[in-house]
Amino acid sequence: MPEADRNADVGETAASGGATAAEPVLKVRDLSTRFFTEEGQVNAVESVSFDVHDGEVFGIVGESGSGKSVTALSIIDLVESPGRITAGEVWYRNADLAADMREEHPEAIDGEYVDTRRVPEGVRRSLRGPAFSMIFQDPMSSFNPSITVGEQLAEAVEVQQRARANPRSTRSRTQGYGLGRYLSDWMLPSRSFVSTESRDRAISLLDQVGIPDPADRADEYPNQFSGGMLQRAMVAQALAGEPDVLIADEPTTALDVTIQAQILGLLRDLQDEADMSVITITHDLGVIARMCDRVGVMYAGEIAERGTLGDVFDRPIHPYTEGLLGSIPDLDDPAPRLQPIEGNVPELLDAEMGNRCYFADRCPKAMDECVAEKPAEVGIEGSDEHRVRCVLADHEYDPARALSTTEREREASADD
Amino acid sequence: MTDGRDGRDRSSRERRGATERAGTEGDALLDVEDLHKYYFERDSLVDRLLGRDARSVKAVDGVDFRVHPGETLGLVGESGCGKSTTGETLLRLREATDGKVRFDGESVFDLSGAELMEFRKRAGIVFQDPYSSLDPRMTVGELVAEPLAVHDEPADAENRTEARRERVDELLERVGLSATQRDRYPHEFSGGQRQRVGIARALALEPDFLVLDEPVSALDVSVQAQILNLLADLQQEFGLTYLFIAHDLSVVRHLCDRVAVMYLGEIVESGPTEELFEEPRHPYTRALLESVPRASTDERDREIEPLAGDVPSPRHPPSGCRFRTRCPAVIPPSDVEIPQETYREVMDLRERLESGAMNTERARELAAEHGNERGNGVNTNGEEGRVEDRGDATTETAARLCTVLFENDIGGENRAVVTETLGHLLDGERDEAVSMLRDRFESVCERQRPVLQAGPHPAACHLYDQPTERPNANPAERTADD
Repeated sequence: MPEADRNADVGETAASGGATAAEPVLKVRDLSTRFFTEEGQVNAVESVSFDVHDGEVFGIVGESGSGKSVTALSIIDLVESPGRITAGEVWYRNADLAADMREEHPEAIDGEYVDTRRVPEGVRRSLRGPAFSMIFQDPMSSFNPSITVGEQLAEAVEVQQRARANPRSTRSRTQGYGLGRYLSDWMLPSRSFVSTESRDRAISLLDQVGIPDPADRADEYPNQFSGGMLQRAMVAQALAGEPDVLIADEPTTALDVTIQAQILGLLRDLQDEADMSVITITHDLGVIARMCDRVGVMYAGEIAERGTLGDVFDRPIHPYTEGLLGSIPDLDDPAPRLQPIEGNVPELLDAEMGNRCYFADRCPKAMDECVAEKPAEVGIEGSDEHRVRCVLADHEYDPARALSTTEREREASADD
Repeated sequence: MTDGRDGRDRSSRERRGATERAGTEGDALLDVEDLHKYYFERDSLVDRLLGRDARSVKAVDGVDFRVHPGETLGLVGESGCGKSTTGETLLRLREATDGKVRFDGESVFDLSGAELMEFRKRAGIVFQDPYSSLDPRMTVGELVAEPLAVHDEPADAENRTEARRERVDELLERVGLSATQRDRYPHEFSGGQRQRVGIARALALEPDFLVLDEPVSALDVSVQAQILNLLADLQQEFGLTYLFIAHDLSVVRHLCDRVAVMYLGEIVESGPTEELFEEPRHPYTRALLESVPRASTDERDREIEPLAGDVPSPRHPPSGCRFRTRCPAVIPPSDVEIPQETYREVMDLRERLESGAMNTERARELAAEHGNERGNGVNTNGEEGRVEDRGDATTETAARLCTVLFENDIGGENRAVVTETLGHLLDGERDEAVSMLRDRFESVCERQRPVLQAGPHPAACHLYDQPTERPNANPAERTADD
């Protein structure tokens, strides 16, 4: 990674001792995730850094293949093989946890912050639920179709309760499950795995997310729920652990627009009530505009531009951000012709990702220096948060130095 | 124009030239009349032997519209509203249950043999999902050439293989691919490129009319814009007529000349794009437009009132207006004075009563629950302790239940009726409860199915004159030749 980028982040990373409430709840630094596939190494996430503050909604927007979902999975350590988090730190603010860990893992502690990448896996796992929890894109395939919704929620509640009672142990009930239990369950298959209390809690969670007749609906199977209702149930499940940070990965993409409005309203209300921090990941700029305080635009595994909503929507610098905004037809004022971004999202194969701007071959304002070296992320006019990874932050576009067509074609054919 | 057989033996090539010149006035290229498509469940031999009645799923239930030459008609609606089924049925890719479709004057459902082949040549479709609509074992060249082979095109060429190859190259170049990519397989292309292949394939036979079934919904926004621009260019270049099926309203507004909004198998409103988006008439259209999140910084503070609930099942569509179960503007009987929000709640209660979601048991549970809560808090007359002995107690419980069930203030006679109903319900007399509420609160929206008026911007809603003509209606639009 370029030196300038690292320098830019040092100031923030050096958050020491007396962290106050104004400090972010989550600090992601230089997170990189790679997939080791047969075609080669895929750099899905390329040293991504961002902060999430208390009670705010941070949005990550990008097209498919930009690495936004993998970023979310990396934060809660759910990346599966052949993917691996190869570098980076995820600093989570939790004074109690930091105190507990200080003895054993001093290197993972910085004041009230704990680097979840450097604590043992069991601890990391115990954070899923009470610290971070996630809403997935497709509610229809995220529930087990053979277990009632109520029981699945109650299970989540029990896991959270166990995690809270004994934060360091993540032994679930299944881990003590031996041959004897297996045989007895085989003969008495109706044994209930959840207690009445957690069932009641599940019902109240369903009620909280606006499902009518929650007690009855809890006994139904996922296929008896509509998509919107099931997404509500998923939100309920994510709320079971009362998380500090809720990650919503395309929470409304699978839903119709009127149902989407319901779910977005619900998420906003819950966030207001519980004062959670939310990371919203979506490809839909409308959802970002409705939900988020700050936003990061991802392209090819990197955050290309970030800032407040106003910075990114009204004062974009990066041609990719401009392109995204120009690609969507405006409902209230339809432009006669859209301004699309030519070409396609790169495949992110390591061999093809040189030391240059990844957007250069699609960029209408690409210049020679764009392919000479990868631009560093620099601050730019707008709010303090407004930062962009583009040479245009430094100087205006100069047609005389435009990336020559032959060069561009060579780049494009390399991508094919 | 009763069955459209009259135009059959004319040379279609000739007619085709005529329609292209005709522009947007005059005859419609496609005229869909009262189209129905039902699917039947429990319709197997076993079911019949067991004497079970077949159950119908009314995917498309009486749809009328016209598409004029050279225009783009948008068909929008949420998933399950029947828009894709409409598109496929009118092309005869599915057998219609009832209704008429006339394409260039000929009745599509009566075609057979060579005439059907000719129709297939002139009317094509681009499917939604470019990942599953292309055969993975065929090269892109073969895929685009396949329609040519099926129709023995080009018929007049000496060397057909050579001519087809040229045509394929030309098509690939036209949709923004390169002729050198002819021998590649679909998996080597990205989503946007595959959709271009799908479009090239649909264009191969030089059609007049294309059904575009959500052609961009599987694509990323930047690629989506490329495809939308391509479709607009092709329309201009080849004088194509589009039926554009989509759920994304901003895309529809961008591309379409006229729009028809579907809900649960019916068209609820149609009109010129500009007018429909600026002055939506049907409450569903309004709610739909309001629900779309705008990509602008003031979106956060835009007040929206999202529609409650889900789309009902097409197995048991609601009586009368199908939108009435979610409608924020349902019409109370003229002799009942009640605010809209309260009336919505009354209607929701009725719905739950009639479906069985609210029953005696549930009502008692609810009352008991809230009785306890209120027992140790403030209560109206401090008598909660000794309930559920006499009729008096039931009335009291019913009154309490009424407060629990209604968020909005319900007053006067309406409250008395609702309380009495709940009393019946608590006593286990569900039927009486149901009929009592119906007697007082039955809406015109549930008694009568609203229809589209004549005119350029009809809305199937009882808020607008039913079914009389609007004063400035343009009779040519829908009813001229009936």
